[in-house]
Amino acid sequence: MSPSGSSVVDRLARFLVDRAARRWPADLAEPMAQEWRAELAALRDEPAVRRLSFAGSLALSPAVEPDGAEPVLALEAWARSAAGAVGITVLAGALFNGVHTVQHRAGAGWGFVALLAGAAAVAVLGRRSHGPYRPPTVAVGAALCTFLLAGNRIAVMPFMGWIDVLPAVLTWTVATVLLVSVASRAGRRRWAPAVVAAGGLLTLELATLAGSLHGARSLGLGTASAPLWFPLALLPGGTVTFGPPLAVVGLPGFHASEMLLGNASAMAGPMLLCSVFLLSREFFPVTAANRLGWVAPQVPAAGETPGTWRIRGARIDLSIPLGVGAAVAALAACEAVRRMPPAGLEATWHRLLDNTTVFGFGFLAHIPGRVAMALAAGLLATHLAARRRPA
Amino acid sequence: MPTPRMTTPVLKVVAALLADPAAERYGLQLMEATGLASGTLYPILVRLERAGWVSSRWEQTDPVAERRPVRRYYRLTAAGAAAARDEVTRMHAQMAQAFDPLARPV
Repeated sequence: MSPSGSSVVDRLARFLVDRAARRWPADLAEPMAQEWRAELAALRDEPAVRRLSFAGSLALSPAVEPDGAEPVLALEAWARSAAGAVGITVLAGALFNGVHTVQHRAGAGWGFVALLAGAAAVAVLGRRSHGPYRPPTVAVGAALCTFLLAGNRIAVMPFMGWIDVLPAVLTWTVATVLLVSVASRAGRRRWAPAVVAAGGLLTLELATLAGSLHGARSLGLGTASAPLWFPLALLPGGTVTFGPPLAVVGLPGFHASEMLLGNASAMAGPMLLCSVFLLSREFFPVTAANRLGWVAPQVPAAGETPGTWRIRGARIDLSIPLGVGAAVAALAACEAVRRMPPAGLEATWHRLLDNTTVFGFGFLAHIPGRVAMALAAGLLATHLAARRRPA
Repeated sequence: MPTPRMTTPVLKVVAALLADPAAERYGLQLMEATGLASGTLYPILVRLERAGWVSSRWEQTDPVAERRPVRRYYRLTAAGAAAARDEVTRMHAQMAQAFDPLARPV
C-alpha cells in the first residue's frame, strides 16, 4: 500500500477507536483510547484490514458498563441504543410539530420561542445522556431516516421519498460524526463551542440542501437560493417566495418555493433538534454540567441493585412494571393520535405551504408502527428505571 | 469485589492468562491467544480487573525513543489465578460430565 493510503487507514482506525472510547464510562475513556492507539501503532506494519478490524470491532461493540453496574448482553445493549435513538428522534419530531403548531396559532415570534424551548429541552437531555447510555450518532441517523420515510402517511409531502430523505440524512450523519470527532479532539479549548455551533449549522445547511435538490429540480427551481433553504425552512411559509408560480386546483397564487420549503422544513426541524441533542455535550463545558449535577454517575452504591426501590423495607424491582406501563401508555397515545380526524386535503395543503404542517407520525396508522413505538417506550422506560440510583 | 460472570469468552481469556500466570500480556497477544475480537476482549479485561482477577500496568519505556506509544500489560493476580483455576477446573468437570454418559448422574 502507498504511504498516503496507509495514512488514510491509520487515520480512519484512530478515528474509530477514539469514537469507541467516547462511549465508554468517563473514567475509562481516555486510558482505553491511549491503549488502543498504542495497539494500532503496534499493528503499523500489519495489513490495513487488521488495523481496521481491530478498530471497527471496538467501534461496533457495546461499551463496558460503568463500574458497579450489572454487565449487559450485547443484544440488550443494541436494543438500548436503538430505543434511545428512536426515543430522541420521535421526541425531536414531536417537539418540532409543537413548534409548527405554535407558529400557526400564535405567530412567528412565539414559534421562535417554542423552537428555543424545544432546543433547550433536548440539550439538557443530551448533556445528561452519557457513555453507554447515549445513542450513537449513526443509530440516531438510522432512526431519523426511518422516521422521515415512514412519517409521510398520505404522501402530503411530495418530496419525501428515498431520493430526498436518504441524501439529507446521510449528509447529516456523516457531517455530525466528523463534527463530534473534531469537537472531542478540541477538548475544552476556548474556540471549541464556536466550532461546534458553526459546524452544526453548516451540517444542517448541507443536509437540507442535499434533501431538497431533487425537489428543486422537479419544481423548476435553480440552486442560486440554496443557501437560504435551511433558514427559510424554519420560518413561516411565504416569508420569502421565489420560483415559478404553481397551479394547484383550489389554491391559486403560490410559488414553487413554498412547496420546497414545506418539505425542507419537515426534514430540517427534527434534524436540528437531534443535532442539538448530540452536540450539546461538546458545546457546554463539562465542568458546568458537573457543577449542576447533570452528569449523574450511574453507579449504584455497594449492595444496591439498579432498578430497585425500597418500599416499606422491602426492595422491589420496578423497572419491568414501569417498562410495561410506559409501553401501554405509548400504545394508548398512538391510538389517540391515530383516531384524530384527518385534516382535509385543502387544509393540509394550506398548512404545508405556511410551514405549519404537523408531519412525521403517519406510521401510527399501521399496527407495526404503533407496536414499534410501544416497544421503544417500554425499553426506554425499563432502561431509565434500571439506571436510576435507588432511594 | 464482584465475581465475573463466566461466559465462554471470559473462560478463554482466563485460560490464556493461566497458560503462564506470571507472564504479562498486552491486548493484541490475548486476542491472538483467544481468537476474540477487540470489541469482545477489552470489556472482559476491564471486568476482570474490576473483580481483582487481573492487574494492569503501563509499559515503562520512553515513547519518544521507542517511536511508539506505551502499551498496557495485563497479568493475573495471585487471587485471580487461584479463582481462575477453580473456574476452569469446574468447567472442565462440567464438560467431562456432559460428554461422558457414564459419569452423568442418573
